[in-house]
Amino acid sequence: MPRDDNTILIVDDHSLSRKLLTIQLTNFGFSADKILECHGSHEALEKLERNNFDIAIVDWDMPDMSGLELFEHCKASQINTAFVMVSAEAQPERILHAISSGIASYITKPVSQSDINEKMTKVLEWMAARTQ
Amino acid sequence: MNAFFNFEPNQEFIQGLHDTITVSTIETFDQIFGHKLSFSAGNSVYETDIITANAEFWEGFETFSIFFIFEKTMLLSLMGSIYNDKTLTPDKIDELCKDMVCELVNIIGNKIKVFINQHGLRSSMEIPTADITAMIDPAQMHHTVHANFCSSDIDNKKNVIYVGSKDIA
Repeated sequence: MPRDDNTILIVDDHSLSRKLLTIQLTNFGFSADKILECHGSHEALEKLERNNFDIAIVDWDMPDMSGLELFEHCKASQINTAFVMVSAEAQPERILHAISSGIASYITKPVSQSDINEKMTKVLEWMAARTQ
Repeated sequence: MNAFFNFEPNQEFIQGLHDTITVSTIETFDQIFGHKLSFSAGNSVYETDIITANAEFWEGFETFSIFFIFEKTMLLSLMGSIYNDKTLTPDKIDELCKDMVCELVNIIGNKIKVFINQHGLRSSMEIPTADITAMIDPAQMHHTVHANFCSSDIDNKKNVIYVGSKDIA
């Protein structure tokens, strides 16, 4: 699956994390003009309902609605976007819970370029397998 | 010895907390910015503009906090590698600095929480808050566990970050 065809929504209440992820995703090969940033879950839900994003990279811990709740809303609305959860929490049970809910991947903050390269390669494979 | 979440920390715990603060602060700056910090033995009085922040942990009705000081000049130089000039307008810089500090404290604080909870506690962490202030002398805070960091790249290894905690022992 070509990288620069994918549309990506980044959802994080911190500007620093949104900017860093945009830089790292562009370095990986995604097109900067297909990456959209969003600072809250409610705003993200509206965007996900109106647009067909391929990937959503979502902070788990946000004040208005958690990233996992956002994912559950999308799943209930049959939105087919691949969710990647990002969190400063690295508790194994939390990661397992997220993966078993049906998200595509989980990345622990601080996110390095090598984390993005490794996880996004797997997410693209996961998306390709899902469509076969 | 004071209670710490109804838990009496021994010297091994205090050393472990100190090591966690040191390693997680250095690793976080390296991974996010590629910026090298090193542990500094010396104390500093922070006389220029600084940003302070708290990571508050709680278990039941008990709380415990880790206090952070960041030198603003260092933050501004790091922000220059992430934000473009259009974003870094004078009216937005302070808010962006506070946002940046809260996210850094969130990341470092979560690593501290994992360390605390490895000792049988079930603490949670509040969303960090940050403030801009003018001058602080960390030595006056009498923190039991504290660490200073200097930058390898900026200003001849002057201290740029302080992390401290009181009421542990």
